[in-house]
Amino acid sequence: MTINKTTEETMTIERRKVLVLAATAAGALVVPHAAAQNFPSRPVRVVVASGVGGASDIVARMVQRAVARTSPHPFVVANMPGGGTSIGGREVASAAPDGHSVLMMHEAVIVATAQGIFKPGIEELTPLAITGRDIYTVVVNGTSPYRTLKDLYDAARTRSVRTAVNIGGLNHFTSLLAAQSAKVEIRPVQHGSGADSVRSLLGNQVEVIFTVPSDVIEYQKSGQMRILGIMSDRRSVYLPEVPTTAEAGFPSISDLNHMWWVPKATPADRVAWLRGQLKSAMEDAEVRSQMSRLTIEQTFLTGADVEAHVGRKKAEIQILVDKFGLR
Amino acid sequence: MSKNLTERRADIVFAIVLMALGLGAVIVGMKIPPSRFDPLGSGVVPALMGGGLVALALLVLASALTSFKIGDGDRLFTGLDDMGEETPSLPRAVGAFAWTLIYAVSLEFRLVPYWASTFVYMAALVLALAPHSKRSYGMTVVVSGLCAVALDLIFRNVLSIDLP
Amino acid sequence: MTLLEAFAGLIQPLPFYTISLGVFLGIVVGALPGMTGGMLMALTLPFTYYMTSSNAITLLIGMYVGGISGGLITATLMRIPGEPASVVTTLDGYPLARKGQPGRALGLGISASLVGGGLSWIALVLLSPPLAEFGLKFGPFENFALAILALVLISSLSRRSFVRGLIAGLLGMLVGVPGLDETSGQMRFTFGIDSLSAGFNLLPVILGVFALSQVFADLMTGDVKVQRVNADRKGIFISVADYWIHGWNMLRSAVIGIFMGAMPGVGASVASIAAYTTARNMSKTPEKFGTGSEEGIIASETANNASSGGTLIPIITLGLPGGFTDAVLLAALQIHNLQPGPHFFKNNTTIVNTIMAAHLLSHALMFVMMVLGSFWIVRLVDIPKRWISPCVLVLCVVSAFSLNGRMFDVWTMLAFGAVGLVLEYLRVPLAPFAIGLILGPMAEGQFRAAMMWSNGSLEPLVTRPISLTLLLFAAALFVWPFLRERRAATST
Repeated sequence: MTINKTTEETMTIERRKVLVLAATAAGALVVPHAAAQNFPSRPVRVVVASGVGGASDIVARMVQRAVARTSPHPFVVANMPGGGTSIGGREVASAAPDGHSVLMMHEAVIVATAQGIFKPGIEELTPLAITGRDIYTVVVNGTSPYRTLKDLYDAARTRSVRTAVNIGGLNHFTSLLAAQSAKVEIRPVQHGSGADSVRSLLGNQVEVIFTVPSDVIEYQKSGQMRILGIMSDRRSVYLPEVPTTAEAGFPSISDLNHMWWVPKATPADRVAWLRGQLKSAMEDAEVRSQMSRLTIEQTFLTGADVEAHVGRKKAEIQILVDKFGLR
Repeated sequence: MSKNLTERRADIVFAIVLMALGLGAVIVGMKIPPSRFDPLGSGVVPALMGGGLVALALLVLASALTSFKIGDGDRLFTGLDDMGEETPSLPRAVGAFAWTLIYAVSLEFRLVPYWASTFVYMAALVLALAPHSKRSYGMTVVVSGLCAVALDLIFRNVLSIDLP
Repeated sequence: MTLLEAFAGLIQPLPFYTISLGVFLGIVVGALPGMTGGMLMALTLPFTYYMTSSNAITLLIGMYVGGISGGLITATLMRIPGEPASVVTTLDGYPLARKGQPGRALGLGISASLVGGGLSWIALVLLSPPLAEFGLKFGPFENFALAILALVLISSLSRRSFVRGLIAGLLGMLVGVPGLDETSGQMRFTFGIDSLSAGFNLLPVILGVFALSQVFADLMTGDVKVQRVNADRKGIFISVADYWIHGWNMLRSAVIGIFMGAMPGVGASVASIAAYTTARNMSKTPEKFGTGSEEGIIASETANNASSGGTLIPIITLGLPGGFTDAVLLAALQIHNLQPGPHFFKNNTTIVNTIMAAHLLSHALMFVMMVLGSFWIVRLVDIPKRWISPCVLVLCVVSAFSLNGRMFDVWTMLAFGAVGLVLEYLRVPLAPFAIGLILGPMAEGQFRAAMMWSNGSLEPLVTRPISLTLLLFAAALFVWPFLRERRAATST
């Protein structure tokens, strides 16, 4: 083997290398654009704008499994928490509107939009459907002296009642709605996540929290917590003995609907296909039983219904934002 | 132990930059209005941090200007200074950094698929660092190609992450 | 199912294979710079749908334990932490390796990991309920006092260059400022950049400041053929005498790790930092820290593995997650139709015992794999730099991207890579920077939450017993090194 190469040989090797690299690069440019004209041509990415294990995440993953059982085209769940849903929200709002990007997030995106935290906001999104409804409840510690909502709000009038909420988040808005209904003030103490709020109530650091039944139903059974009221227009099948806020004399409604969205310009046929997938997922037996276990009401709203819901929520939230200067 | 001139100059620049950062933090922080639920407001603590930085920067400046030692240069990492017998090569590091920036730009704008850009990036970097020999070209291409394709497959297909 | 039966269940072929796979992948991913064990767990979640609940849990726990332990490999051999929890291991692991004892450095780290995990397992099995109850007593004031305690460590970590250490700490804290401020619900310091609405993510910053800057610094040195550490596997098995000598350090660090693991929002990184600085403050030879002190390696690695047990405590007793990895475990449980909660502990003894058994078994498997693997892991340093550096860079880029699926994190990492180089050049210590970054937001957030809680009064800080105790600890930790120096000076 010769050790010394002539300059020519070295040049040829160099040139060949460059050509190979160039050809590879050129080929790489061509191949993906021969992409399929059929939809979906790759897995649909479902962006959940909250952390792993949260309510939305679990519902998204249940639906993901259901879709995988019936359709050859899988959903893939990606968590993008942060910025009060704005990171995940913006990711989808600015994604290509080809039906392969879906956002899964409840009313927190509407709240974030109203506060100017999520830009460009839900205006750039079309709601696909609502798969499941969760209701906010008013919960106190099992050892507290409050047995009814009236007890709680009376105390709020005299001493200061504190609640663990995520400022600017959905449970904060819920606490404002509840306090408004009784014309009292409930002092918020910042706690980043639902789990933190639950922990805080368990440890008796705050007097009340506002959260969904699945977070607290176990503690109610063990007597560590007491659910005073449910912020809905009708009693929950999972908590038949808990009165509604209206029955207690302080009507206020706050629910958490698991919503799916796509970028606004997504073509109608793809929107329809996605809605169809969600609908059949909600009819899946395993999804139904899991939702029961999670005490989520199995509602399914789509089309004009879900748009009406979004419009209604937007208006309600805007009132609160204006009143408390939250923008 | 006396500080040499380069160190002192570097410290002066450092102090000035720190002061600018600190003042910036103070100014931006103080402008933030308090929120309804949090009377302290979100600007107070950053402003305090900025203030602290300014104070410390002044100390560094004073130390550099008067060569009065306020605290010695401690090393919690066996850092860049112990190069020993090896000759430092700043152009190589800068070049690698610049090449990495180009790679990132290519990913940002999705100019070519991930495996292609990663392949080119890796191969070029390995070659630039290597002594030139015929054998190493082949090896470089093969290994870089394998790594690039493997990463692409693992992340895109197995983990379902939408690589650029 | 009793605990013993749970162990027996894990030794069956499929479960054993699952847990071994988990530990192995965890170690590999933990060692590789970029991806963390936590990220691996989250990405594996969809695959666990199709497994039984106990296999899913054992796989995830195996990955978790492997991930925390694997980080020490690259931290020791290349000064690149594979996980944020291994940052402090680089401070003494790498210098010891450079001194010609890479085998011993690895051996110390691996043994420390085993002991930390084992001790935390004991706490998990015997002390879960009381520890969990204790954790519930932590309100915002207590959390703030805890953060203060940890922040005091910044000052004790950079005693010789107090000013620069403080600067590093403040800079780290400032990096944590931009983004959505939770306590007020306002965006701050984002300057209109939408991508900053969540601030700078921790992982890209750590990767940039520690991993990238190290790679580029390495590239700056002339010889690209040889790594600076020689492949010497002597000393991987540490002797019984070593266990005895380091026993007190191990015990203390484990307690710190268990405690920090059981507190929500704290985690393995803070645990290892706290144990390391405590060890340094209590050591008879503090000046050796940073140059290859064995105590430093032991403290850091014992604590971060001990936090793995601590972190499982609130899950099995209260059903509440303490951090990201907990959230993934809980998600896996929920997807398998298990609802963690106070009844969990009593009614689902099968799953709870499986969790505990998996935790211990993972540590045993980790020890065996890493010791056996060490013999050729040490050979990693024989790979020429021209292969290692590009591989590390590519891995860092893809990991930073995978975090959130956006290039912003990659740009963040690159920017902080440059920052890291500049800071090193200016002799600014990097460890306090990491502490400030990790703890700054927590300290500030908890302080303001505490103010909301007490309606603006600082009094509970000193009237609440736990908070007062923590503050006294902090004061003691701050003052102790000065006292010791004074005593040493007067006795000579």
